[in-house]
Amino acid sequence: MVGEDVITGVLESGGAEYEIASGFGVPFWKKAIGRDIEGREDFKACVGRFDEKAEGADVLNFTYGPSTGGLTESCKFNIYTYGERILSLRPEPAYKDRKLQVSGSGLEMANLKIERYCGPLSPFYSGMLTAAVEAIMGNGENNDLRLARVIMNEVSRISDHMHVIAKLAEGASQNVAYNLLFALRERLLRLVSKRFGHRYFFGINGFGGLARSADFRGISSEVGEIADEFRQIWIRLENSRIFIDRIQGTATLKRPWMVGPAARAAGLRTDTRTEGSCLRYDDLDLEVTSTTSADTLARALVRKDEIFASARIIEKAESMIREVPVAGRMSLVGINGEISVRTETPGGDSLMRVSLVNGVVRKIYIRPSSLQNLAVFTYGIKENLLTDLTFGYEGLGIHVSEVGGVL
Amino acid sequence: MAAEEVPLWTTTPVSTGIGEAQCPANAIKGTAVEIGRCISCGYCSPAFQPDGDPRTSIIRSTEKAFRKSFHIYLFDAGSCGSCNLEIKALGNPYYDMSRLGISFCATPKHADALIVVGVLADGMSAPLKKAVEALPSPRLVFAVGACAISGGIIGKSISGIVEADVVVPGCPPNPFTILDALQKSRGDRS
Repeated sequence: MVGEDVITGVLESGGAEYEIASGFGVPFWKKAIGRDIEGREDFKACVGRFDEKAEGADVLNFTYGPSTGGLTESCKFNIYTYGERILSLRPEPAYKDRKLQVSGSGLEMANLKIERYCGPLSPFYSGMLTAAVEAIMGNGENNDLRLARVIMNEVSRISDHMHVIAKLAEGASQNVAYNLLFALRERLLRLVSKRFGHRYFFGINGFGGLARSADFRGISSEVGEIADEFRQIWIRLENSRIFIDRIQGTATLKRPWMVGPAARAAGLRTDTRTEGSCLRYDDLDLEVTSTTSADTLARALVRKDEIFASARIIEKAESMIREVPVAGRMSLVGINGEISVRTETPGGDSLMRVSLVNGVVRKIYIRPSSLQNLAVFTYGIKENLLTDLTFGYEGLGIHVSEVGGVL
Repeated sequence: MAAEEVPLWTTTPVSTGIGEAQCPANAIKGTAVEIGRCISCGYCSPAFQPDGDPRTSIIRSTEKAFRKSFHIYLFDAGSCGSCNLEIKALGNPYYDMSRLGISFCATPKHADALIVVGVLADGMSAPLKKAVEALPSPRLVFAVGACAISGGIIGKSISGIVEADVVVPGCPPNPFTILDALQKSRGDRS
């Protein structure tokens, strides 16, 4: 960490590497450390670097991962401890870095690859790429397409938030709640499958329209029923002292560079959907909720409220949607330009910088929310107990695949 | 299982005879589909349409010793995260694999089968080798998803480290397909 900033990536230009720090409200390219990289255009994958270590007599480096039954995705954690309290933690997320090669790809292939950059968040990332290309082409905003993308993103947000809360319930051995939540999420995925032909929205986002037709009629009532059932489960969960005790006061951190539910749980009312998102939300009655205790419980409370907020946004968007365009094979040849776009993923603000030459991707740089959330975990889990590890990690909804970046 | 519960584009595309197919994964040769390469994108429509049958797995060898108790270990070699979630979904009440005597275990040392997802990332080659070596016999190795089977459009398959006994196509394969493959791999009916 440098002051109040956190290192979130590395740029390479002319054979030299530059560390990137992200500060609150500061564009990533203006905060390179030590040297001026303003105007540099050559950038490569973003990788997390964490140098947190603890040394001293009897300090044990307990390694966890990269592959273990407790982790859904591969990531190695070096946990420095005397045996119970975590003195510091150093994650190594690069093990599963796929070095996803997008540079040199045509735009349709790039879109398919970007969907697979982080599968569970595919509508957010393909939505950023398609919005960036449409902006470079000078296409005016199509209101129905915007609303369709908003609905896909918000359904995806509900799914991700439910998954996070279910994982917390699982960690606290709240097996009834855990199973009910996973069953509810399964219902949501089946709803997506039936209406969009794919449980994770693969192949649906196109340039200038959806790549295939989708059924939006009545989606809000089905999502609303799921949200109502979630409310009943949550009421029982928040009355469980076992559940609350495990997540209250765990992985507490308050820093100005935080994003997403972690930031809103720390009293920062920041949400890209209210400023700077590639999708407008200004007519969708978005309510930004926040709380102040900055721990895992606060993050769960924010996610819980956002499930209901997303259901309301879907209802409003469905009432406004008319006819969503299905993209033909539009000509993408000869497009040149460079642009940055942002979106609010379930984990928080993510940024994509897209550079095109003759309709081919020259470079794409992504600064994902998971990288900053991994930093929140790294710094927030200090002084917690080893048994808090699950709650600190799962409560942040980190997707390790996001951390690898693209080439 | 009702047909509408299957995500259509994770099932096998079949030729409709309408127009020419576009396949970014090179899975289509004429009217034939190499299902292990298919990334479920739907770009081949309308020349191809999915057949709606989720039973797409290819079983190269079976192990009847696992018919009553089957411990599986999920190994992420470099996935986008969605295959992982579809495998974890097998534990939810809709699929409830535990009723069939199938459960997750925390280490390959205690596993009957290694369920590998994702392309082979450079950093995961050595851990994958170690995981395969740690598997006791008898054992099965599953390649789940287009990335693990063929590398898909992202990278290289796991075949350089281990040959899969069971191949489960899809991007990601839906939980019906994975559960069906688990059942068939131990000699049970679909």
